[in-house]
Amino acid sequence: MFKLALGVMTAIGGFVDIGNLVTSGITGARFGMSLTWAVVIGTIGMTIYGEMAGRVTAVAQRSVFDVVRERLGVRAALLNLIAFVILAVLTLAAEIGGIALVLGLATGVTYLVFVPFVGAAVWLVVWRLKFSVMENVLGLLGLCLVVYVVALFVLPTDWRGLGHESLHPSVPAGESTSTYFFYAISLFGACVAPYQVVFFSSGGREEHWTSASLPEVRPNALLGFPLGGLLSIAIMAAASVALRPEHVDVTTLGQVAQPLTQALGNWGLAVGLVGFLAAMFAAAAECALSVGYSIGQLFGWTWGKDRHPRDAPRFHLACLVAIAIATAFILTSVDPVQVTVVSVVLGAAAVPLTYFPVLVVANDRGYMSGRINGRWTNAASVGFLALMTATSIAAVPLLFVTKAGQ
Amino acid sequence: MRTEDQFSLSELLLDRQIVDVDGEAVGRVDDIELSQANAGPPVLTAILCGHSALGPRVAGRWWAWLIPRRSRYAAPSRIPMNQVGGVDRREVRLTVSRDELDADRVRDWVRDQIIGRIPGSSS
Amino acid sequence: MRATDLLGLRVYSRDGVDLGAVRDLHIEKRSTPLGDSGVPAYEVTALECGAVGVSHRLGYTRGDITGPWPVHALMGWFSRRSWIVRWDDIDSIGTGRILLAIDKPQVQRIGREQP
Repeated sequence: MFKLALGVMTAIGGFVDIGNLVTSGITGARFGMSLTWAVVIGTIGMTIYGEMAGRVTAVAQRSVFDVVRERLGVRAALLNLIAFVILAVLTLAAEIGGIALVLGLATGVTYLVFVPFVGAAVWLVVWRLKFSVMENVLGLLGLCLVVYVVALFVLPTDWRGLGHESLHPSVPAGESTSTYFFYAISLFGACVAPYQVVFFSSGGREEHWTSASLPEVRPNALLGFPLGGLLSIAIMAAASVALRPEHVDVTTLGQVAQPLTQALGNWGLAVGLVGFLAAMFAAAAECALSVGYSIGQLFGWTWGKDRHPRDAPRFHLACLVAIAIATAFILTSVDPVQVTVVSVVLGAAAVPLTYFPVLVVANDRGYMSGRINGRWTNAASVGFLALMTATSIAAVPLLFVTKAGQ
Repeated sequence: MRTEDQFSLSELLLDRQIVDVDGEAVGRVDDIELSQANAGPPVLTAILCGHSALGPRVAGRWWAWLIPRRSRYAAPSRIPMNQVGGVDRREVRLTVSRDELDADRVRDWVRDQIIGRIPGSSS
Repeated sequence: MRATDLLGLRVYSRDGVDLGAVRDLHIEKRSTPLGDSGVPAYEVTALECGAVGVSHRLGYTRGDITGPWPVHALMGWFSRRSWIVRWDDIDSIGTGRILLAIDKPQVQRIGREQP
């Protein structure tokens, strides 16, 4: 029971990363609750995807990139890997930048000073910290973000108005339809993060899941991810209540935290920033590891965080190089918030690449014996596949048309 | 080799994970060596793995132009079928330890020259 | 010879019809051992070929996967345009192409092999 609760809570903390913080903050301040549906659909998709990947891991003993290599043919698998690694490094850069921004916010020093130290700290976690310690400590600290729910009760929240706006979505006056859908896609991409699924399924292999683990594994996805989605909606609502009336255009992480100060003062801000740090730090470590996991699985190397680096040298080298590149990229003083927006939108476009092979294997009796997808799971997952395919066609044109949402 | 009496390459062999007798990862089945005695059908004689087996599959003629097949860099790790213990839907299992195989030079180089030199790599 | 040297070759029937590229090889355990080594020999007994390779790679030609609905239907449609060729029916293997010793009407569709 304790293990179950722990798993669910870390899944909530693990769901939220800089992508959710930034996109929920921006959309809440600009579009109010009119994009809630995007978070709901994205969360449902992530839940289906996570559950399927977890089941394939436990029953068929295969992580995402094992399946990619075995089912897509070697060329498509390699292109898939390249796309995944580029996106994971971009997301890693955004998380490292985000952590540095929060540290800068807390100390008043320019964030660039912190970037190399943050990169080094992420690498130390990957290099030395035990898997379970990392997951549990950071996952639980990430729950500090629940302070947004508290803030909503303190702020003069018009619950009925928020509810009405969420249930009757429309493009707000003064915003173009293309910007509206651009941010809808960014919310999908923030919710459905393939690096999280690669991490979830590879972590499952490290913890030796079998079919017998399914009762413990599935609640992580089926409960943890929806609760994480709820947390994203709470951030959106807080931004909508506190920032929208003043027409704040959210361009920094500090503005995302502003509703907390407004509602709860400095202690609210402090708790929130601890949540920011934990969520982004966990996400940074997950991104870095997912690079090593995906490359290691595609080429069949020894991989795993719980292996001594000497026993899995190429895995650790891949993680190290990913962190070094991401850190160097942020040091060029690109805006981490802009990097985040671009990375979630491109991430949304890339979802079908890893999602589709997992969906196929989850239907393969030869691998899954009696644990193949049920009829309703298949109906929902195919619907989501269709949506994400349409999304990936629309994402890049919208990125250019809206100049990344400006 | 223990496996089903009939199967297809992409069903059980090609691109599958190879593990050694201790369960350690060796690589993936990047290609298969077939040998033809007389005029009969070809017979599986070895599993090939490593970049010089994967490269030609990915890049075809470009790879052959870059590294001709007779060059000494073109020889992939070759695991003869008599060292393959079994093939099932999960993996390809060998009957030998990976240290006895044609050594994976890239892995060893990364371990000795980079990762092994960073403090804390082996504890 | 490597498996890659066979995979991807175009297959033509004796009457000159293009049957697509080689997508997969069927393997069977032979009763006689490999040389004098005592290990059983596994020999190539047939080729799968077809115009579209994706259904072979995803596993839809094997009958273990029956879903999800639109994907399965599409892949089934692709598979029905694939063929299975016994090794004994091959006439010659040239550069880039395989010539069969039988005409197209005698080549079997995939999924309808006779035992």
